[in-house]
Amino acid sequence: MAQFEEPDPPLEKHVGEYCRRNHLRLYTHQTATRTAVHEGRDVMLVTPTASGKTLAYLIPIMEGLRTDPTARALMLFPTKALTRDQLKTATSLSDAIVPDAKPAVYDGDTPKNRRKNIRESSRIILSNPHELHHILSWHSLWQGFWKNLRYLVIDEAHRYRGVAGSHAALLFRRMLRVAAFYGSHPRIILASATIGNPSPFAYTLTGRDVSVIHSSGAPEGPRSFLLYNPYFPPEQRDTTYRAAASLMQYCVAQDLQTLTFTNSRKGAETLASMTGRHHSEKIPAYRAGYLPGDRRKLEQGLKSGSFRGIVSTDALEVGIDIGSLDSVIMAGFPGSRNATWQRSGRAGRTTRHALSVLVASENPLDQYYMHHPEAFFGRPAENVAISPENPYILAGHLLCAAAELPLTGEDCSIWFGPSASGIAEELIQGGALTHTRRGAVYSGSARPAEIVRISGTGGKQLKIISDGKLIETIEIGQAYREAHPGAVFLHAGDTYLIRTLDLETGIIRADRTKVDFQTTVHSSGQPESVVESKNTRTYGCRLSFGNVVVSEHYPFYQVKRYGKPVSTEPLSLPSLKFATEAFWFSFTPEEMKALEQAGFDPAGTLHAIEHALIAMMPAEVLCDRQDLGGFSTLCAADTGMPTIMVYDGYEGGAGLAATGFNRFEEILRMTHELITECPCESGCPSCIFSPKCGSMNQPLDKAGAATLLGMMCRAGKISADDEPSFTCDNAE
Amino acid sequence: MYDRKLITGIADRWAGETAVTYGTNACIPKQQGWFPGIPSPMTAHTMQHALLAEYEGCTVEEAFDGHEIETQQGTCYAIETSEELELARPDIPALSDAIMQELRLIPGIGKITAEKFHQRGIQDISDLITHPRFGADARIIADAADENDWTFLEAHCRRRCTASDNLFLLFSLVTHPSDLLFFDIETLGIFSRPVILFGAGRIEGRSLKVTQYLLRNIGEEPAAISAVMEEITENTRLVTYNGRAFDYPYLRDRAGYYGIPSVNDPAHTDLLHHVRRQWKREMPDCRLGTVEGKILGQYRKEDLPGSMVPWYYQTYRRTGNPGPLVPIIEHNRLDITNLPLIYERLLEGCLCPSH
Repeated sequence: MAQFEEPDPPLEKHVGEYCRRNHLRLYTHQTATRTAVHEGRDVMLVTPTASGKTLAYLIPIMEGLRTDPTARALMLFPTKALTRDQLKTATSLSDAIVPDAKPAVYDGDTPKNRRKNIRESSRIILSNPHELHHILSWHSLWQGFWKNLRYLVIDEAHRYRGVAGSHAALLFRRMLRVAAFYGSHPRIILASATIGNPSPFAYTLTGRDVSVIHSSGAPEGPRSFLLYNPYFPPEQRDTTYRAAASLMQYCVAQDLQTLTFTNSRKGAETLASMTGRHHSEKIPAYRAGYLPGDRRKLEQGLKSGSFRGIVSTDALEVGIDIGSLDSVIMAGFPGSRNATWQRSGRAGRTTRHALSVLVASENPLDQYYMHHPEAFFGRPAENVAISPENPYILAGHLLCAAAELPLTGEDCSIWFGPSASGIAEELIQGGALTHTRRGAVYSGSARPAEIVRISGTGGKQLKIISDGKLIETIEIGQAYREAHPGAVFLHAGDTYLIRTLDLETGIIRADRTKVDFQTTVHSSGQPESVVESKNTRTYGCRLSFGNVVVSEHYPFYQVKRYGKPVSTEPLSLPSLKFATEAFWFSFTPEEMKALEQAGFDPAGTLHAIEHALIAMMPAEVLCDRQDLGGFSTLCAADTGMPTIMVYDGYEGGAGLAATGFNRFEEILRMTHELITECPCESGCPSCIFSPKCGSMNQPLDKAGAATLLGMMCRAGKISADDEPSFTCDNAE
Repeated sequence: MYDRKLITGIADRWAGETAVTYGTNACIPKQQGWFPGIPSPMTAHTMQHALLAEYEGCTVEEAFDGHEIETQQGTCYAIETSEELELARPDIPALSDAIMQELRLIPGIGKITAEKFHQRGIQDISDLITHPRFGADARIIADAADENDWTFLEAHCRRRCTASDNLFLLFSLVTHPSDLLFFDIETLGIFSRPVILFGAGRIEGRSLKVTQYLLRNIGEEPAAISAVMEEITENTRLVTYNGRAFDYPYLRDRAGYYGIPSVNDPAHTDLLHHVRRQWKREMPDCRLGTVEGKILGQYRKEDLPGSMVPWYYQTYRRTGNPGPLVPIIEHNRLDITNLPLIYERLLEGCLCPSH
């Protein structure tokens, strides 16, 4: 049932009239947002898809722009496509309410001759972080805008996670600092999908304490949610795509307009042709990389109902207006429950009965949820991890900040956190910044916004060249994972085969080819030095968190055709060494001895737990298992103890291990359930096999892992008071 | 949390990318042909080498005769030189004649209509005052010209003509010669980086007085900016070479960086537009050096290309040796002293196109 609430005090006259004319009544969460903004609070809206979040933030902004004729607003969206879509909504409201607001998009596609006009006269500007990064240093041209900035909207906030999120957090600090320089302190309104840690996340992202608005007043129509496991029982295995294709055919035949999501571009096209083959109607595919005109045609076709079915990547997950459909099928778990609900929300935006189907893949997480629907429906949403403290990322933003305004020690601590002044000091010593009476001044010769990319961590960059043309610049870590010699590399919808990777010249040569296979690289990491910063005793082990330097070795890659391994090819790349964050937990040699005497293989046991634990991490922390690395040993170099380590696969860390450390117990319990409930005998891709293991998934002992995890879960959480000896012997 | 012991090389990672690291290749001027003073890239190296040796142990103050100036923003170093100059300019009626002859200043009259009027013998805006359609606008312009309302007319022309129109060159005639400010800056890069030298030239009687504000260290930038800003009053007209697109926006940007107030849009005559209009066909390019050679017959010896200024200045910063500053200061001074000469030639050219 819809829950409405009359705003008190009543809406500003023109806004109120607009609502009456359009028969709009505000839902409870929309009124709550408006009240918070009125009271001068920053607010974060975490209500479901299609609950009217856009209106929730536009209403108070429209009121503000009416009552203060100088007030201006900035709305940020993660992608250009979303920005254009939101422009329509903002324009239709403001044309009726604040005719002089002239909302406009200011991004890389904005024609040069319009820019000055937008800067000077648009009262609502829509943009994206990338553009913001580049325009901040031009703030003197934007004086009027920054001076009067009253509202800042960060839409799709949950998308700012990991490395990209850490960049965004620092970028928002830079922006708020520039605004503060001109005397403004805008209200921040964040809109996000449901996440597990809205308040701390918003604080890390913006540096502000926000009021979180959870409960939605928007009506939710009846929905049936079907969990479909083609891998059960194990002997009747069907593939995810085949199952999804036949479900889609069935739905379309029943005259249900159906949208099927896949997790890859290639998958979208495969599934579209699989479904279409057995069907008279054409089932188109939709993905990024198509021309805007083609995409618009597909969007229109969906809206008008001329397509009964479409297969899409996550490109249709958010924002883009395609009307409401009858059913949504997801071929494979989208990686997070939050994305699952987003996708599912594409069906049944009205009160009609909607159908959502999740077709499981073979992955451990998919299989876990198939066996634990209560976890799927009932667990709190995943946590979003970001780490603006990452020193590599922070250093780049300090350079940019010092090129925007002189950077004082006070600025560092107000805006950029406790490590900022130390890093700024180092940058001064290195000569990129110069100390002056006014603060640190950027004194390099390159333009900082150009050399500091807001993705990656500023490590060594390699150029991918095909036919003498530069197709992409990527960081060394990503190059090792995706563009090693022999790799099939995807770029803008085309496939390239990587020929050579030359670290000295920084050049990767690739040929554009059509291939019917994929490649996965396998790696193994080993910590070289470990600095523990905290530890605790829990679940029968000693759990630690700290900084590590990892040396990653990439021994081989696997070639797969239609998901089936075809061959394994050796690689000869030098090891990759980087500093990052990790959590690790260790046992005693006696415990290992006991396992061995019980007939288990201790090394295989630890290795199996490492794999399964990493596979379950995304259930708690919004990430991909590819973002993490693991290591297990019977005798750790520094302590001599049997240890399992999980580290962030990104230089400096992206907050994943830090969140994993905090959510260790939940992850461990799910890992235990995953392993004990998997029907396989001695391990399979749905539990302890890792698709990127550098030692060919050898050795692994599933029974041993189940036993040790069982012991850990029985030991449960022991508070620090019970065993003081374990918490006092801090390594450093 | 940042751990300096474990995480090393953060500054090094950026030092390489932020600092100027001109390899030998980067020293070759992209545009070949008009660097008479710099025959080969090695000269830039050799020259810097020689300068470092020559000025070893010298301070900036010893190398350049100047004085420290005090501003609200601290101190900076000013170097003053002077040379003879007799600026010959036509009188203001040349401007009002040119305005009155430009029928296209009247809204609604484009190239074709103007041509038609010319064929009918109508050459002057005052001839249109009785015209049923254009009369009202013609009167406004004629009255403004009579009343010497140049501010109105210049703003009106900005709406009706392109930036390179001769009229804008002539509008500079309304500024008293002593209010012309010949202006040029040397920087560490293109925008968002410090300006290291500000050159300003003023006509005082029969001489051109050049003041160069030098940053002995980056910390002196706010002082130099505020000193320059004090020179720009509401009567000032900047005369620059590409200063509309580069020097002045750059100056404003840096002023904004330090929160120093700046004049929004001072009167400005950018000679580059007019050079392009008058001489584009006679020259391989419109760089200042090329123009000096072709028009003034002056070729610079041992001049430092602008692209190498950051490299030389960074060498000075690193070593404290003022040697590398010598060619930067000289280059900037020549830029300034040549501006009035080119300005003069352009005025001649637009009044007597046959020359």
